[in-house]
Amino acid sequence: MLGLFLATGVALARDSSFAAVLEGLEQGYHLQPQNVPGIWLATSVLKAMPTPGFSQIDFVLFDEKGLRELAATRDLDRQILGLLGSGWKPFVLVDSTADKERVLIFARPSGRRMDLFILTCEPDDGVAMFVTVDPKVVKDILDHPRSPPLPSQAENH
Amino acid sequence: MDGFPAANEMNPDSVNETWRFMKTNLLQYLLLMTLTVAPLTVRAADEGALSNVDLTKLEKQASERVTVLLSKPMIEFAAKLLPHDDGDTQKLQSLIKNLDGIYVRVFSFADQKAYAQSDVDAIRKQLGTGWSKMVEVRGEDNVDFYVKREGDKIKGFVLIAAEPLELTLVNIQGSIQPEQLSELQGFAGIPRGIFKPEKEKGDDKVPVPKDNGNTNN
Repeated sequence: MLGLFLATGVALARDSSFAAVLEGLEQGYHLQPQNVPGIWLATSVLKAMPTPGFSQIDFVLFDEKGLRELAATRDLDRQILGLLGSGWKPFVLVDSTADKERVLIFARPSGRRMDLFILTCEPDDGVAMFVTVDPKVVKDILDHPRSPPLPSQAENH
Repeated sequence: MDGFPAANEMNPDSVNETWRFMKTNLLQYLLLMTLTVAPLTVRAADEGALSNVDLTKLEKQASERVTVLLSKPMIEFAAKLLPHDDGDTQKLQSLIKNLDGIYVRVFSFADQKAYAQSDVDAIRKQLGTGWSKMVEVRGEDNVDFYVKREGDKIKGFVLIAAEPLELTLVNIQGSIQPEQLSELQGFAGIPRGIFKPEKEKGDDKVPVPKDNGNTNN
């Protein structure tokens, strides 16, 4: 019951822009969130014990279906921007043919912090993430745009 | 349906929400429409001088592309919130608050023949009117430095740095002096060493200023 309550809380707290993008990805590319057992618990733990500099973390893992088409879309950044809506700007876009990976980061000021929408797309898996970050994280991203310090990598910067 | 819905499509929920909002306050609705439409066209506007340049061919040839886009609002935000705990950051903060945009495109290639000099020449020609070449360096790496002036004021720089395996385009818009450019190295993806202070160059490597008044060189 506690897990259900936590999962519901996570869903209700989802940013509307993030929800809009997820809906667009599911509709346009038939992407489906991975049904990872315990993902609700992982998300709740992240919210309770956030990585320094990151808060309001919300993310969705996508399974393989539809990712190849998504990765090959030329104007993907423009389409994502259209779904995010007002206030968002493209921030850092990394496209590696060698690694077959795309990382798109969009930003929106949020008080003294910044909201980031991050889409990481590889042939076999993808992650869409919404985070609110502290100023130092913004600077770290600007200092290392080729390898943005995302929550799993923040301790390396 | 393959691909995204068309950018100007609105799903039923958002249409209903927008209609309710419009009914309550028409003026606020008009403002909302402006803010909603603007981002759909903002990509071209937010790349500064590089907006006029067709980079499709380079995008296809590159093994990696890194794009950093800092429009005025993003720069203002970054300037306010950069940490104040070191002198270098404070100097950078003071510099960037006078800028209107920083746009960086870096293309990396797997082999030295992936792009041609003609591809770089095409970029130079597409910069548009008002840009004049200020510095040209030729060697293993070719660097072209363009400046845009309004009267006696400098309003922006474009740097095109062509290396065998990497092509870097940097557009800086706003009030900045040439000698300040080196302060931006390492920021927003601008490669270090790309703006080398004159004092670091040997006499035989001092770039020859060229101020031809046009970009078609």
